[in-house]
Amino acid sequence: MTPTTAPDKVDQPDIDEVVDPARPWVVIVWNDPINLMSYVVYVFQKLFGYSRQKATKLMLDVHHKGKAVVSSGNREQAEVDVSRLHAHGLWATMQRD
Amino acid sequence: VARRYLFRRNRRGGVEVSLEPAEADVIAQIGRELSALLSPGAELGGAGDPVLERLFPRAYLDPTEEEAEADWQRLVHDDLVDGRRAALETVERTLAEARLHRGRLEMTLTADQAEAWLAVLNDARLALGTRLEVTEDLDLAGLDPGDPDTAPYAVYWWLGLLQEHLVETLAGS
Repeated sequence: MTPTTAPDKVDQPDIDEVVDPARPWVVIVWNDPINLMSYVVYVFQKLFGYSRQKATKLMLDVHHKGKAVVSSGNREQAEVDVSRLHAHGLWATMQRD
Repeated sequence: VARRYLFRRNRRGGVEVSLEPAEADVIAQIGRELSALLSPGAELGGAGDPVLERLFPRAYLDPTEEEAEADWQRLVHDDLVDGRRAALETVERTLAEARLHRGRLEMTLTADQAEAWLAVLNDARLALGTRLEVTEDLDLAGLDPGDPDTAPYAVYWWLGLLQEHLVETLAGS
């Protein structure tokens, strides 16, 4: 089995994080009058592996509240999620939490 | 007598499609219009055209992230355009290879091809809906069918019906 180096890093303080905490970024999907509710649920399940229940709740938040946070992570992860959502025609943006 | 269907799952995880030739013509025509919109030269970030702005929105709303936005656009925009063009080509090709059977055009799509169809139907609705400035309150029953201006709304409504069917088929509900 190939040893991983990841566990060693856990014990080492990450100076950068102390000085400039890597604030998580959130990906927001905004309501729009065109995308079908069933399609939005389908895309959330497909892209994020969410259960039908969770995907439906997020879709209803988008529909009723105008937006919902659908994922979060570092900047790079958020940028990837935004581009995947855009590829599926959803109106998504990202911002610091 | 075989039951009519638009989309239905087959045993290989693909989707069988059955359309009237006139319906296939509408999809092909919409596909050509989308292809023209996405032809080389479509503006980076889609500035100016509301349809392109809708298909290719910003990632960052924060105006202080203009540099990150530009970097992100440079990174992903071409891939997003290529993905959409590839889906359009899949729809065009599968339509061209459709077989006429008892007055209907039939196609067998792989799972990936069915995803391309779903993407194109959604892009078509985004483009048409944006042009028509539709709202959630759009009341199609209130439109006068004798008014030629209502035709695009009818197409928009029909594309939604088609997409709804395809989502249900793919979601397996």
